[in-house]
Amino acid sequence: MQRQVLERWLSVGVMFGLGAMIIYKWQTNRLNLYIHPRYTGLLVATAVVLLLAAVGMALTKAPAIPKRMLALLTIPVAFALLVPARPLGANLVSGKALNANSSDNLLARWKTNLSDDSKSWTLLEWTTAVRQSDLEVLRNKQAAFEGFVYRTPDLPADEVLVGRYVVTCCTADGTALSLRVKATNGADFSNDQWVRVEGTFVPAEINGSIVPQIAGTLVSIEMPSSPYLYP
Amino acid sequence: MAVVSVDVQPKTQRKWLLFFAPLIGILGLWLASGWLVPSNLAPLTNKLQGLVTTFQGIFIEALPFLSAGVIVSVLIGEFVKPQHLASFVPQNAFGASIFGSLLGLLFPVCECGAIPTSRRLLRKGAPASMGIAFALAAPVVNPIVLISTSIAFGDVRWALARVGFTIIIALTIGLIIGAGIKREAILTPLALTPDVEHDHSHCDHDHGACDHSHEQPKGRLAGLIAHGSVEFFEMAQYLVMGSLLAATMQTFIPQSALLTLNDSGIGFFAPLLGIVVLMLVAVLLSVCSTVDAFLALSFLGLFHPGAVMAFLVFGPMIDIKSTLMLTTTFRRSAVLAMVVLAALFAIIAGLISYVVLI
Repeated sequence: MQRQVLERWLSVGVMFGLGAMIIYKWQTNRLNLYIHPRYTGLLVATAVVLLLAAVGMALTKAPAIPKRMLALLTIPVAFALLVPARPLGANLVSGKALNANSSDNLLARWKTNLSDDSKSWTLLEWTTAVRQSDLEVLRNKQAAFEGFVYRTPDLPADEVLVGRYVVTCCTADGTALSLRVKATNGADFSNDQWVRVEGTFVPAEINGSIVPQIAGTLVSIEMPSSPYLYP
Repeated sequence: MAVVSVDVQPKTQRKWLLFFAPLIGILGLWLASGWLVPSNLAPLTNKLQGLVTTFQGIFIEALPFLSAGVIVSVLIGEFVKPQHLASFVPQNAFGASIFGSLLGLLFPVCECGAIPTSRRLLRKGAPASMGIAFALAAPVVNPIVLISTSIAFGDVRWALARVGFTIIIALTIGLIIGAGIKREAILTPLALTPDVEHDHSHCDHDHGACDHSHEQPKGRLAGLIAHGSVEFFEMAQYLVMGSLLAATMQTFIPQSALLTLNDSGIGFFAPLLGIVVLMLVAVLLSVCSTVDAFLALSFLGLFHPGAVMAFLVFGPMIDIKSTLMLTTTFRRSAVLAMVVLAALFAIIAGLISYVVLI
């Protein structure tokens, strides 16, 4: 009988934990590490329903839940408690980057009109501009966009990729974009540090081909409150 | 003797799993937490933290829709009587399939919600073909998805074509599997348990929670909570498994590999390859049907419209998490048949769209 009581309270605890996890992530502004902000309201409402269900289960002697189900549903709560919350970053670029050939049309779908002021462009708009127009047209345009640092072994010490993910619904569909930056202080930065790129667009010649590149400096910043871009 | 060997193997497998699954889980959790992890394992910690972010994305995104499905199911359990159902559901397989494939218009649930609802209807005595058609069609044939697809594509024809294909495929599969085969051969024992009015099925667990009387509103509410919580956990466990699998594959299989595969098709096979690749993407991503239209839109530049249509039709019917959930309601052989048939018909739908829409 005592064991049953324990199992019943474990069930209540896991249900409560799921609701509390969402409320906690929402309150600490971390829900947008996982989902598009338009679902925030829906999730908070769901969390309230789960919390009420937990209270209901506690008050009504609801049946105990089989152990296997409890164990599995503990996984998301354990992740929330034990694994540091991190946005998609340099760690997954290799898995989630688009290959250059295929991204042209995709970008065209995401964003079509660009403002004249290139300093207001995000990385998404820069990537679009690079695909749409002749690189020479963009030469010397001023850049001031944010992103995380991503290094690959083949880059010189003062050059980094500055990347950002585009998210349509949730992190499951995150797609990494990046632009090459040659920065005077580039060697000071390591993977996943958030930076603002300040510089101008100067196409570079690498191994005989012209590639898009920004020349300037990197300014260390806090991670933006919404780490992803939404098309 | 054959009976014995069949009986023994799953048991040893289960023991093995019971021992190693938590062990691997704890090891993974430790590595992902980054706590006292040796620095030469840091890249793995990085990958696993990315995996966790992707997992939480899928899981958290799906949670509201799963909860809504459970609530709908519990309300049906409470307020729909088997006699009601019998009076307006056609008992022949064809009529039942059509009814099942259209029922989503009344119950707006996506795949996480459609399966508990389907099982509830089956327990109320609905024909198997209706349950199958509903489980496959409801994620698409419902007002929310119709609206989100129209908005995403800015064109109501995409939404209508999506719904049209889905209805035809779901009712055909309902007919093929459901007609002429006994319910017992298709449904799991749980889905076969009759759900009579106030059957107190939660008492089956003999946890002594039956001391309330169903005439009192308080007892009724307690019953709803009991049914709802059991069903929530039962379905959510597959959501966890499915999200874990999908996140693992996304972390370790590069998206660009699939896109490269798509670009490699030649001649007649090019459209077919695009369709198959996007169907694989649908299975891997396991995104909820209420939001997948926005995602599909972003594929429209990369793939031909036929492939995008196949993604829109196949994804809601079959993906990692919904396939796992289907096994709560349908026997494995039936689930396998549903997966194979749905894939086949989705390819045909994609090819038709390729010819018509291009």
